[in-house]
Amino acid sequence: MYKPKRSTIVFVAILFVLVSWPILTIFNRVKPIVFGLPLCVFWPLFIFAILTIGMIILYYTAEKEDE
Amino acid sequence: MQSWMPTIFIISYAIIVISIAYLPKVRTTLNTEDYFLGGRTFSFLVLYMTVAATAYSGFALMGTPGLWYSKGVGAFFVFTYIAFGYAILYMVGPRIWEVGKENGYVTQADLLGDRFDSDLVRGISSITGFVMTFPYIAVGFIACSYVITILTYGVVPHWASGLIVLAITIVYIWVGGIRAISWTDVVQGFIMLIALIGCGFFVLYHYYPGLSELFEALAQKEPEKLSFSSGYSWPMYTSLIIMAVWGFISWPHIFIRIYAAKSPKVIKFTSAIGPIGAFIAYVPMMIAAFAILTASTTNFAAPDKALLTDLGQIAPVWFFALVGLGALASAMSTVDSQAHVTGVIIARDFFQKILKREMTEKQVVTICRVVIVIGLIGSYLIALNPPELMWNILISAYAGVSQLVPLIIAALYWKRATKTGAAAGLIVGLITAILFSYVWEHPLGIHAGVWGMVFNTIVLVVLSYMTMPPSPEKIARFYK
Repeated sequence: MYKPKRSTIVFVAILFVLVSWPILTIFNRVKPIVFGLPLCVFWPLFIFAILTIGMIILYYTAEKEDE
Repeated sequence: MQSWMPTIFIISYAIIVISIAYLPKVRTTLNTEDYFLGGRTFSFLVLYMTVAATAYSGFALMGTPGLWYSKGVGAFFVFTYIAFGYAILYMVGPRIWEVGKENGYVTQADLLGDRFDSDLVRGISSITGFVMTFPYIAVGFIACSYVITILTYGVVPHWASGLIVLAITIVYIWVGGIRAISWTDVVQGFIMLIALIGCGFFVLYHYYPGLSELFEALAQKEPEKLSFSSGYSWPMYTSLIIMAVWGFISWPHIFIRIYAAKSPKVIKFTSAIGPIGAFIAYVPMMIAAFAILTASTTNFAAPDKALLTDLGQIAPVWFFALVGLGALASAMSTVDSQAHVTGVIIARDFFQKILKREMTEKQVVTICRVVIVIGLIGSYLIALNPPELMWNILISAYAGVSQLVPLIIAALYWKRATKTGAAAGLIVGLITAILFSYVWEHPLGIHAGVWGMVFNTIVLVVLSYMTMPPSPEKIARFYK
């Protein structure tokens, strides 16, 4: 029976909290500008990028363990 | 300025998608496993593109810029639920695939009905999926016919544009089933991708020298667009995400695609890189929408149409045609998948399982095809003059399908969940979602769908503990 790994659940949950209320209210502002983007645009994009990279790494490590 | 170029684009597009269905590799055999699930052989490319094309399309080039345009960064809720929806698919998808393969499931209701030994659960979940899917097909039609009308400079009226779309989709779904849908999704996905990226860059550099100038202008002219809480209140923003992130995996067409995957590895890889597609679908549209919002002099009546209308004025004709084609491809790739799934639901859940008709494979496929054609024609007629009810269902669609989530999770992982708990939970969840959508609208600013999920889960858990646990044979078969 396939079950998600605990590490995957924790990783996804932490990132989800970072782009949800109440944490998101801290980033609900224009300044500082990061890479030309207002903070409220940069922050979610940054977290989604971490999510994607993290999931790809988790995928490859899990596949290696299975082999 | 009228040109034949967009029309030529549309005709070539039609020829390409129809010929894909006739490719020997794509053309279906008259076998349900093949017509419904592509023989459970989907590789990474096909699975990725068909999930993405179906998920983003609805309104990728119309609704999405409209949302950024009107809600500002509040529109990030869509990006958030898609990105995390993929993460949930990564975790839950392989398990759904596993039980599907072991027990020969085709639909979502197969899994729920079988695990809970209940035709009631099967029936309600199947009807929920069916009813919620339908308005999406009609909306897809509206988008498609709108695009064709624009691309032909109004020469082809709405009703005729819709008819063209109807004819094209009927042909390729009839011939190739899900295989044709998914392979056309690959082509449609690529057209969409080029259109989205090209469009973002083009609009940005047409109006501004760069990104930082765009956001400076936005902060000056429309500062409220740079606040999450100006588009939606915080409880609404948060509850929309919570509902939709789970709703993402509970759509019937997503289930069919999970079953259709060749292996769990394919599902996991698809989900891991899934958000890359979301970046392509949302970031260029955000940039384009903000650029038009701050710099375009045109006053748009409908934000949904802002992007294409503006592009028609500022872009060279070939580029305008390409983006229009992208919008057409994106809407059509949703229409076909959703229409297919309604056919599968009726043929499989209703005729085969609930009425328990003895039928040959060929007859089941024929029923599915006929339902798809009737469904498409019906949606076309609805799209010509959409009733108020359709918009209501469309808005509540996620609230409806997300009521299947507690049952899906319980079916997959919780041995103690019982038939009574599941049936009562689902009914309570759906009633709550309806009442809190239309009678007491979204109490405390939290979306009705989330309230439904909460009550649904409580009833499911409490009643499951109060009733007899499922038989040991069932548990042994289901939770190996």
